[in-house]
Amino acid sequence: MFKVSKSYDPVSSALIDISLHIRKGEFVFITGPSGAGKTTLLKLIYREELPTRGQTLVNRRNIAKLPSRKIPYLRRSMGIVFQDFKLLNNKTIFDNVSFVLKILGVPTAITKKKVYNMLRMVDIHHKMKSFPPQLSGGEQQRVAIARALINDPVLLLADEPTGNLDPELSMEIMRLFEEANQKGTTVIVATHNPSLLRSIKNKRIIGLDRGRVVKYY
Amino acid sequence: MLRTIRYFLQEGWSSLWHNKGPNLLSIAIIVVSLYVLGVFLVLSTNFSQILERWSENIQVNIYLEDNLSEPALLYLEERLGSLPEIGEFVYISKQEALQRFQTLFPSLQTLPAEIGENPFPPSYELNIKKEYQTIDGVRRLARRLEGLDGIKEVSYDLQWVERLSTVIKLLRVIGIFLVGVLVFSAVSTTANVIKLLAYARKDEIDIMKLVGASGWFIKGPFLVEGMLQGFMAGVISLGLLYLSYELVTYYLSLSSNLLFGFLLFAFLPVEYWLGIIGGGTLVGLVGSSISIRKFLRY
Repeated sequence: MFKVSKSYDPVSSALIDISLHIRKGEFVFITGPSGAGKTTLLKLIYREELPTRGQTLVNRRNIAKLPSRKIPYLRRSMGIVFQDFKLLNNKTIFDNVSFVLKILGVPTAITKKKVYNMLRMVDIHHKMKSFPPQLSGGEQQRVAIARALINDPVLLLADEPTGNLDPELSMEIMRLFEEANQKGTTVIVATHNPSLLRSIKNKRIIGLDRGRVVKYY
Repeated sequence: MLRTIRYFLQEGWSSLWHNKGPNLLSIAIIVVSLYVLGVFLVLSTNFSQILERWSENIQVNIYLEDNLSEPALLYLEERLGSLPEIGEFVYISKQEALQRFQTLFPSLQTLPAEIGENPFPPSYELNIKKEYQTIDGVRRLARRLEGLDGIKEVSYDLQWVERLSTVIKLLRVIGIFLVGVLVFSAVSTTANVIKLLAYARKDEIDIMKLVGASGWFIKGPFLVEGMLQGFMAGVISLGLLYLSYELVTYYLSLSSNLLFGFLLFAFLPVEYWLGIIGGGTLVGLVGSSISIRKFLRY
């Protein structure tokens, strides 16, 4: 990001003059209190929002200039995990995860195998015919992570992924992120929970406060 | 591609099944439009066929001046023979015309004697060739014949044909207008139903957008749902139309009025069935595509 600002109204700005560089394969925490601009920053990366000023480059492409019809293709190269999981409640766990591969046109036989293996990796395969409302918060978040990782994304974004979970589950989730990072996925986790920072050895921390970068290492 | 189409069909059908209420409303409105269209088509096609049959039997009579000389008659016959529209023609002399009158109206047999003369002019009965048996064609021929020497009057009985032609034109205009209004309301009803269904699934649509589903992938099932509504409406309306046709022809056959019995003798040809079902499917497709667009903005 280069000199990125984002304002929702003329009076206040969510992000002010943000310049940062995240390299391929890094594990980065975006920290800061509530309202610091963490979620807005992530939204700019997956093109849910457009910056008011500045440039956001993903893989050297200025995504603000991306035509609307190309946004789905950008998002297919990413995996996104949300605090509120954002699972499709009327579809089984299996269908929630396989949906991503269906979009990509992956043959059914390959989909079945990949999804089963992924659900096993996050230890939720025994509930694959269940529906999200039948699962606990931690289980739903594991499904969300499975969905985010199923298509081997180059970039994994997580917005407060452990916000609704207890400490033990939170560590489990971070372990899954670390595994993905070790396989080459760039991971960006937005969190206001300082205890999560200690769970990952090789990481960078970008601290935000009231829309500005206050820490950068 | 096939996988994707199968996905669209499965999801579209599933949504149709699980949201029966609003979908039934949409189907009902499309059925009404197609039924009215079908009624107009049945009437229009049957009247057109009657018009075609009546036009085949158009006969033109030319009444001659009295006491035309033999050479004048021969010249006239030569001219009539040269006209491309005319097939066979038959000369009816004054005497023959009188005999025909006396045969048709026996109670008036003595009328000519009372008048003191034979009032019937000689004439020719002209048969018009099939390819020229149109209202405009006959009118043009009549104008040309009126210009020939020796001809007192040209007569052709197009009155009923012209009336029926006017009725058919009026039917078409009213039909187009009514059907247009109904199709518009069917399209908007479908659009509103699909919009309601999409609103109910807005969260789901947003999630699909976030995980990389393209506009078409999200839109597909809704378009299929709209098309299924229209297709089913087409089949239902065709069934209702046929039922109505059978009922009406049954009751008309019981009626002693030969004219009514004569009117409805054929249901719609097969290509019209496909048109009605296809039209219904198109209405559903248009309605759903109008409404789903706003949900697909990134």
